[in-house]
Amino acid sequence: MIIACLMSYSSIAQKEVYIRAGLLNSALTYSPSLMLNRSESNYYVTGFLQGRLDKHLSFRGETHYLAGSSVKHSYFKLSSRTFFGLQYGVSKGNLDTYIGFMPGFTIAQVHRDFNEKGKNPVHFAPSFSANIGTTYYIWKVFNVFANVTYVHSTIRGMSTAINGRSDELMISAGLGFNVNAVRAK
Amino acid sequence: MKKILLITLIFPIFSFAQPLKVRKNQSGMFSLGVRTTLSTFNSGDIGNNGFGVGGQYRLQIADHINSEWFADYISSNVGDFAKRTDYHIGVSIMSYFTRKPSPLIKPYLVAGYCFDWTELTAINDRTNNASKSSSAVQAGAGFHLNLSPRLDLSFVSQYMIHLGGDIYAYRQTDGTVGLEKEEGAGLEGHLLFHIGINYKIADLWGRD
Repeated sequence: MIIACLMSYSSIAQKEVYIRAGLLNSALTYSPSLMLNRSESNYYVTGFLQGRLDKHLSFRGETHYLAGSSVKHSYFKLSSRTFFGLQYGVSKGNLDTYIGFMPGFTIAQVHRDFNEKGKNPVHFAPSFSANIGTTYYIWKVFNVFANVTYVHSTIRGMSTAINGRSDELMISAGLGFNVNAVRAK
Repeated sequence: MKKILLITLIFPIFSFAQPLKVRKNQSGMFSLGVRTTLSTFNSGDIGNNGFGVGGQYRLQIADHINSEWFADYISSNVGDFAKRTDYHIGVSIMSYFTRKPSPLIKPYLVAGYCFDWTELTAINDRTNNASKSSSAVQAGAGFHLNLSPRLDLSFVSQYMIHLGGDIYAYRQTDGTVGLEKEEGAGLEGHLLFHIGINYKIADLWGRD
């Protein structure tokens, strides 16, 4: 029903191209992820905001907050990953395909990681992410997107028996909201 | 309140989305960026690699000379018994071989100094820790990959020498972790690799 509505908007407004400098785009969605250093998967709540700087470039900030895991005794007890960087996109009409690189950090608690006081410490781990994806701008306020993000992080200073490598491959897709902050010339 | 938030959010887009005014003199070009760091040979051991996150701004001094002001946070393990954290804040001078503002590849030499603070913490007893602060010098080479007149990806490799006594972690025969602070001057260092993204915001004082 929603897609049908959006497609009808698209057909009404298909002549207008929304991708230009000043385009702000954001979304909130679920992101399933695959942990690359152990056989388990997680799912995150993902939010991002990006702004078009010129024909090809956008800045992007995103946060992923762990919402659950596929296994009962998962690796992460808490995981919040935040990144900020830039994307290079190639567009055709209202279809934008992009790659991006974003340095950032992870705040995490790991199950089975206990300090000398028996407490589960929270770790701060420098991280980076690289993403590839596509966005189709349906109308002046809606878009649909699909994105794959590789996240690299290693948590240091954990109990000796625990490997800190915690890379993930996240997949996100959904409905985004956009607005043009700069009037078309 | 909503209007203030909206203006705060949208105003940078209005200013950054304008074409970059290329002037005859690149002096005064201000750019802002973020970077990720791989630190190798920590404490002289190739196995103790660290990973970091940081940011920088650049202020170009002349066509051939740029300055980069940076801050980094780097964490690494020492064996499987201690964690090392390095904080760097400093400045590097970059020397270009060309006057061209944004060729696809723009190589440069880099040298500078920084202030650093290092902390070592035993993993099995986090109350067992030691720290030191010192200054450091660094030098290396890198290149910008200019994706547009405003944006570059930068790849840099540099060696940083800490000018001061280092701190070491070692496992003692009874299984506990010993931390030792070296006295006097030392030349301990690490090899750093950075990948950064920089966006040119404005020419602060350039003239046509």
